[in-house]
Amino acid sequence: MTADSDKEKAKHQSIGADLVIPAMAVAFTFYYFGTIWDLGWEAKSNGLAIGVTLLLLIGIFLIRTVLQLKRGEATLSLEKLIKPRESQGRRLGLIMAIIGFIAVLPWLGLTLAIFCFMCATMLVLGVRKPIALLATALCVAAGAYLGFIAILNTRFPHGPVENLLARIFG
Amino acid sequence: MGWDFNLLYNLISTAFGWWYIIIPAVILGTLVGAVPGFNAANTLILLLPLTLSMKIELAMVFMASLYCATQLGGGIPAILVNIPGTGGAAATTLDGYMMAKNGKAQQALVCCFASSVLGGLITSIVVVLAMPYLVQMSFYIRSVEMVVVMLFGLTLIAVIAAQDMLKGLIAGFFGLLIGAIGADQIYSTPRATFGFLELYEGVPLVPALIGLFAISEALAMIDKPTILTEEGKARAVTVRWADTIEGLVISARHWWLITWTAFVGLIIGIIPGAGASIAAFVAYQQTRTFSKHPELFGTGIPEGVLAPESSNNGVTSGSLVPLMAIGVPGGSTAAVMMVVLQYQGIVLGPRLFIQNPELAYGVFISMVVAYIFMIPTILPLARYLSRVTLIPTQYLAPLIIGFTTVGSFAPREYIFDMGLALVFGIIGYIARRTGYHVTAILIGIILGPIFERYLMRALRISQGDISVLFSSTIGNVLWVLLVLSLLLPYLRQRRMRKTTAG
Repeated sequence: MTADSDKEKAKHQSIGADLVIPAMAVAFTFYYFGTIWDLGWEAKSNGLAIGVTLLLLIGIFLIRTVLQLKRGEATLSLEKLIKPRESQGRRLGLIMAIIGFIAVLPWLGLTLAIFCFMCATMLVLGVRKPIALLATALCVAAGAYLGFIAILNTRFPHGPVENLLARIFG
Repeated sequence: MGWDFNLLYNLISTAFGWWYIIIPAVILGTLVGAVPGFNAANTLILLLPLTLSMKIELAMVFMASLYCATQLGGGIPAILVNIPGTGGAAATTLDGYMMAKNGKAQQALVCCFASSVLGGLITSIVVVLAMPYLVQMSFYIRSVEMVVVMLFGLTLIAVIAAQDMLKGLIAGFFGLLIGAIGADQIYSTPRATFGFLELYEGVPLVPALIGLFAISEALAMIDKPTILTEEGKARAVTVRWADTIEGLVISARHWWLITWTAFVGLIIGIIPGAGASIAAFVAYQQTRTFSKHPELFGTGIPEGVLAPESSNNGVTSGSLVPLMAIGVPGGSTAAVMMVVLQYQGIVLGPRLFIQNPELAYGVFISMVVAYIFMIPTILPLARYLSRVTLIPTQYLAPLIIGFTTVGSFAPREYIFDMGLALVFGIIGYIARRTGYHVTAILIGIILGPIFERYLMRALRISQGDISVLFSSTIGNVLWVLLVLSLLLPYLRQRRMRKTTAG
C-alpha cells in the first residue's frame, strides 16, 4: 500500500514551484544585462559570462521539466510552496511583522520597536500566555538595548525609551 | 634553517603566562563568532582603540586568540539553529543541524569544538615549524589559478547539492550574479543596483547570510512545534555528560580526517582571498568523495561536522602566513591585524623573522596556546548549549528573526540592510522549499566579487585573451580536478543504478 502510494507520488511530482527560482534568475539576468549593455568590456565580461552560463543551465532545466511533464511524471502545481496551508497565514504574519518592524524603527527607536515586534510575532505564532510573552519580549528588548546601544554604541535610531534612559543615566 | 629551541621554549612559556589576555579573547571570540553579523574582523575594528594602545606582542596575542575562537564560535548556531555564525561555518549546517534535529546536538557541538581545536592546533604547530617553506606557496598562486580555484568552489556547490546537480548549479550561478551587483572595478559604473546607492559597493554579505539562513529557516520552522524530529525529541530531553564523552570518542576515532582536512584549510588559507568558506566546502566535498558511505552525508553524520570545522580553523593559521611573511593579508581579519602592526611601525616580511622572531613566531605560538585554553573553556558548554533545540518554534522563530534582523544593521549601520535581509529571507525560503541549496546561493554571493577581481586581473594581463585561463600548469591541474569533481559523483550514481538494476 505504502509502496504503491510512493510510486504514485513519484509519478506525479509537483514541480511548478521549482520554476520560481529559475524565473527570478532569468528576470534578474536580463535586468543585469540591461544595465551593462553600454559599458566597456572590462565592466561587462564577468556579468555576461555568468549570466549566459546561468541562462544555459536554466534552459537545460526547462527542457528537463518539459520532458517530465510530457511523460506525465509531473504536474505544474505549486504544492511545495503552499503546503501546509494552515501555516501560510502565520508565515505571512511573520513577514508583515518584519516589514512593520523595519518601517516603525526610525520613529519608535530600537528598544520599543523590537519589543513590539516580539509581541506581535509571538501573538501571530500562537503564544497566548501574557507573562511568557511580555517577559520574552522585554528580555530581547533589554538585550538589544544593552548590546547595540549601551555597549556597541551603534547608530540605531533612538526613540522614547533610548532618550529616557539617556536622561536617567546621563 | 636551524631551530632555536631556547627561543621556542621561551615563547611557549611566555604565551602561557598571557592567559589573562588569551582566555577573555577566547570567550569574546566564541560569542562574537556565534552571533551572525559579527565576525573577527569587525570586532577587531571596534576594539582598535584597545589594541592600538596595548604592547604590540599583547595586542597580537589578543587578536590571534580572538580570531581562532570566532571560527569555532561560528559552528555553534550552525548546528543548533541552522544559521552559520560566520561564512566558514556554512558547510557545518549541512550535517550539524541534521544531527541537532536528530537529538544529537551535544555530540555535534563536541565534534565541532574538538575538530576546531585539533585542526587549529595541528596547523598552528605546522606553521611554526614550516613557516619558510609555506611562504613559497603564496608566490605560485596568481590570478589565473585563483579564477580556477573560484570555479572549483562553484562546482563543489553543485556536487554538494548532488540530489539535483542542475539545481545546485543554477543556485550557485544565481548567487554569483547577485555577487556581481555593484559598481565595476574599472569604471565604477553601477550594475544592477535597482537604483539603490546602498548597493554600489555590492551586496553586503551579512544581510545576505542572515536572510538566506536565519530568516528563511525561521519562516520554515514554524510548520512544526519544535525543530526536533519525534525521535530526536526523546533523545534531546535527556542531556548527559555521556553525550559529551561520546562526541569526544567520535572525534578521536576520526583523528585522521581532522588532520588532513586541517591541512586542506591551511593550504587554502595561505592563498590570499580564498578564505574559510571555500576551505570548509572543499573539505566537506573531499570527505564525502572519499567516504565509504557518501549517501549518508547531509543526513546528520559526524564526519560532515568534523571536516568543515577542522578545515575552517586550519584557515586561521594559514591566512596569517602571507601577512607575517610577505606583508599580504590573507583575509579581512589579517588586514586589521596588519593595520595594528603598521601603526606600531612593524615592517612585515621575511626580515621580521630574523629581526623580531619573538613577535613573528609568537603570534603562531599564542594561537597554539589559545587552542589549548579553548578545551577547558568551551567543551563543557556543549551540554547546556544543546538545550536550545528544545525551545518551541513559536518562541525560537521570533527570537531568531529579532536578533538577526537587528544584527544585519550592525556592520554598515543602514536600515536598508534589514530590508535586504528580508528579501534574501524570502528568496531563501522559496529555495529551501523547492530544493535549491541556500548554501549554494550564499557561496555564489561570497565568491562573486572575488571571482570578478581575479578574472579581470587575468584578462587585463592577457589583453582580453580568454586562453590565458589555460596557460598555467597549476591552473590546468585544477581544471582537470574541477571536471573530475563534476563527473565522479555522476559516474558513481550511474554505477550504483546499474548495480541496483543488475
